[in-house]
Amino acid sequence: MQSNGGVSRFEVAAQAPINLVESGPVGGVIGAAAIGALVGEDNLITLDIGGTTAKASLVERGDVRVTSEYHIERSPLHAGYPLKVPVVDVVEIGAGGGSIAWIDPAGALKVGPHSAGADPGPACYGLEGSEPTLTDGNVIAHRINPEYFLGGRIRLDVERAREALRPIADALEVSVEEAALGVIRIANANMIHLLKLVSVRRGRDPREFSIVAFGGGGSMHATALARELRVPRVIVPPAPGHFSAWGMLASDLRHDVVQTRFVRAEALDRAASDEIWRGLEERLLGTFADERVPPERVTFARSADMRYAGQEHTVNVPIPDGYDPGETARRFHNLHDQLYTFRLSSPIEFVNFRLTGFGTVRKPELARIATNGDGSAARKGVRGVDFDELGRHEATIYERSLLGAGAELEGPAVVEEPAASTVVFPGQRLRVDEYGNVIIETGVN
Amino acid sequence: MAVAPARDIDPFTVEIVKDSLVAIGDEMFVALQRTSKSTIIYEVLDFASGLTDARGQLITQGNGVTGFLGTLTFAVSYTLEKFGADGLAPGDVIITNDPYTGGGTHLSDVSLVVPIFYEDELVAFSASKAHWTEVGGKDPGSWTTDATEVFQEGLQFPCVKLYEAGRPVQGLIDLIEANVRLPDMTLGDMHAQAASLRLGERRFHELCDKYGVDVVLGSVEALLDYGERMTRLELARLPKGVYEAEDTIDDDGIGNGPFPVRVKVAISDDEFVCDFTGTHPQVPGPVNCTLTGLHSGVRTIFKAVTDPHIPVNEGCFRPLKVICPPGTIFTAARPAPVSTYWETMEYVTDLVWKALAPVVADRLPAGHFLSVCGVVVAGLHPDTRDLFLLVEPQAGGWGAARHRDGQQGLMCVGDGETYVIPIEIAEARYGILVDQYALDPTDAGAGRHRGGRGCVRDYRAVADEIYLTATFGRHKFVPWGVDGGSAGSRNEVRIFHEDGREVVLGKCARYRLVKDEVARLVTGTGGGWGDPRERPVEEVIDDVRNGYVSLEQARAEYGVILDPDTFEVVRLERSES
Repeated sequence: MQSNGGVSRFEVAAQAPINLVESGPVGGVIGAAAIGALVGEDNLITLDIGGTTAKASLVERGDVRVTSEYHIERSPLHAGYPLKVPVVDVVEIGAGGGSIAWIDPAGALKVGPHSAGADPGPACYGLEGSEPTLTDGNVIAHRINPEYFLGGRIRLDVERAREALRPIADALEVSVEEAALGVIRIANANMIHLLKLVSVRRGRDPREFSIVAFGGGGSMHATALARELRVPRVIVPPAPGHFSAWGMLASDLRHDVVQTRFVRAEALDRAASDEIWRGLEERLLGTFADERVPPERVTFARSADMRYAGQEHTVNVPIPDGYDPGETARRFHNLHDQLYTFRLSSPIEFVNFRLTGFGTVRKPELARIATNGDGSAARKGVRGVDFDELGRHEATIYERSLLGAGAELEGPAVVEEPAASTVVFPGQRLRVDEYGNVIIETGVN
Repeated sequence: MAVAPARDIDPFTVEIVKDSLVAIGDEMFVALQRTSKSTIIYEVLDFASGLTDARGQLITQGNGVTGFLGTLTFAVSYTLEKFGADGLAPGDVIITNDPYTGGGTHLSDVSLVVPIFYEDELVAFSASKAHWTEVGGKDPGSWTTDATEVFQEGLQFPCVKLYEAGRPVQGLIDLIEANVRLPDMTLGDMHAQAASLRLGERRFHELCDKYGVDVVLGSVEALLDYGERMTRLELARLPKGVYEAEDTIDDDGIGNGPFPVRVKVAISDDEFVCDFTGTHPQVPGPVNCTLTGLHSGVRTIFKAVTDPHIPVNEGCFRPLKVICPPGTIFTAARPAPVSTYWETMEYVTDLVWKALAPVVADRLPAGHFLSVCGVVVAGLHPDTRDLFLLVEPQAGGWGAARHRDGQQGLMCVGDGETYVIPIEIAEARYGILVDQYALDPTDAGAGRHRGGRGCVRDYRAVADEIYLTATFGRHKFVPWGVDGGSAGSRNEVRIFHEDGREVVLGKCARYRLVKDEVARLVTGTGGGWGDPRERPVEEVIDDVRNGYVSLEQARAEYGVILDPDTFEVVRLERSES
């Protein structure tokens, strides 16, 4: 798996290992795009919540956003390192199940970025970890079933979770239950901020997207985040805890090449542009040949980084085969307007010619699940769950593997599976599609 | 829409609203970056934006250059002073760049201020300050190294309304358009800046809608108190006492100087007082700094010695006091020229730094090259015949710290997160070739830990003629060492003419070079820390092998005489052995 969202053979990958940075999270984004195509949703915000971080990315009209301006380890306090190779644009923050709740020296409650990870893990794991984490908060709020963690293979110690959180409750002069909810609210606020970074900050309205939630904690938090951001729909794919791995299997072979050449648009005709791209195609066909992919299984996508003469920053413009100067200029103006809110009458300049090659490979298909519109068979019981400002409700607990295609249910509910739980808030409706995806309509508008 | 709880604000809501306020500052920053038309804004990030409370106290600020730290407060305070809360209405936008009253630094830095009302009550302000590429004046780009009065430096906006109750004051906008060289860019930036302030206003309203205005204003107070509390905790860890420093500013660019400057820093349990009394009076050339720049310069170093990670707000600066008589080079009065004020503002930061480095050794290294080393190269591109304008800061050497060598090739303190222009881009876009870009090995900055190396960058004219404007401070008075470490080296521009003449200078305006002549830009190496003869011999050998230290410097300053071919030790000249 490569940073650009495609896979590669080992021999080719070994030549330029920088192309593998962040490949794990990228797998999840590619998987989310595949799920989106399956269920007919092409505008997606992906949300991957693990033990230490939460990661988000944007899929727009089915396209995964790839950037050449990616920095690793960049934060407001850290300049990070620019990669300058194509990377799927994943943004991450330090908020996950293992994120540690702490009181800073001035008495403010913080959650993360330090994490207890899986080892020593949250206090409730009963291992070495004794610091209060987001997972401990979720256990105390009854959003996680302590008896059914990893399908019951680990029994969570609620009393240890409460003990770990007590110093925080005492410092803030609230009950342990309130402190637990506070930890969840602050973690959720951090995640809201993350989702805004990939949407609102880039001029996108989250109400026009669906969230695909995965990772061990994605489905636990996504429904609350969707309420807050007024996202109409949340999709939880099958086996969300292992979804990034599935996403890697759903990827094609992919390689990118770039040729920098400064050319004024008016000086570039179709023949000259074709010559540049054909040269790039030759190079990529060579790479694919090394991976034993024959030319007939390779497809290409051309694009160019363009700007107004005199500018420094560029806009990436997709260019169909058969370069049409007028059409390309029109697209450039529109994209520039969308990204930077203005257009100029200045001459346009080409900076980089980019070619992406895809080598199609056989991919696993999601099996259809048996139809069973009656959700009652999956009911496991009822439990009091804290739904924050909506209050504490008796929530119906369901076993996900027993929900058939077509099943529908309403919140307050929790759908449990071995490596994840989906929290359905009062007023939210959940259905299961033919592939076993859980789809929650949040009812907000 | 969720409703604010009726009971007292719970601690979690306060945290969330606090974080939301900080996020608004960031979002305003990104919005302006995204919509500006000037590279100095969207690439160099020479701007700041944020929110203040109804009294003008800074709530949150996003900024690219440290030089703007805390300046928004002054623009808002002056707006309040001039108009009063009653003189402001929803939809107003105020414009100011007056260097001598609140908020101004040089005329290119233009502040806009928007009062935020909620249910007819003035509750906050959004404000931003940005470097406009063109505000008129005698030279293109407006700032220059040889102005003698502010009137040569561009249009002055003396804190006036640009919009009244939502309607643009068209007469003023037409006046701006007629008086700047690139009206499309200038007005574009103006609109972008106003739009980012409206965004801040909208987000603040949304926050009030969601949590209730009382909860938001309560959280603002909590945020300011939080900044103060965190800062005071750090202040308590600083050594109490009075610390002094002196230094000298080279000249004013038009033949006057040098100018002595000084500070006395008094740290007590609850105050951090910087007194600049005794600093040289204002000068005829444009290196004068005014009150806002003085405060920004102090705030930058104050943040560095307390905790730079605490989100910046007015509360952080409550323990800070700045004293300086009027009419000095740090507090110049009208009509002193100010266009290269930043050269002098850097000295404000550096003086306090120099006074405290020996006693706050875990946070402050020795002196660095300090100057922005601003360069403008103009000419006609040989391929397109279009006018090109290269404007860039230079990277240089930072001082050694108590436990490590200095950083090499970084921006100076006042420039924050800005970048040099990559060689490939410089050569493609401007009529120059870059003959070399290297670390500069001048013998300087020796110490137990050595100063980081400055850089040397050669621009060879490819165009028939190019014009160079440069302002390299610390050309005559070099970066300081600590605890026996040697001083660093100077910043300089060295011009190689066709006829073999070599000219060395610190500042120049529109200096002409013809094709194939070379301007060598050299930035200083930082000061060293500790006695060079205590640097382990193996490290000196590595330095010589790596080209960071010459054989001669190894001998003379480190007392290590090496065989020039094998780098084996021939002899040590160190007292302790």
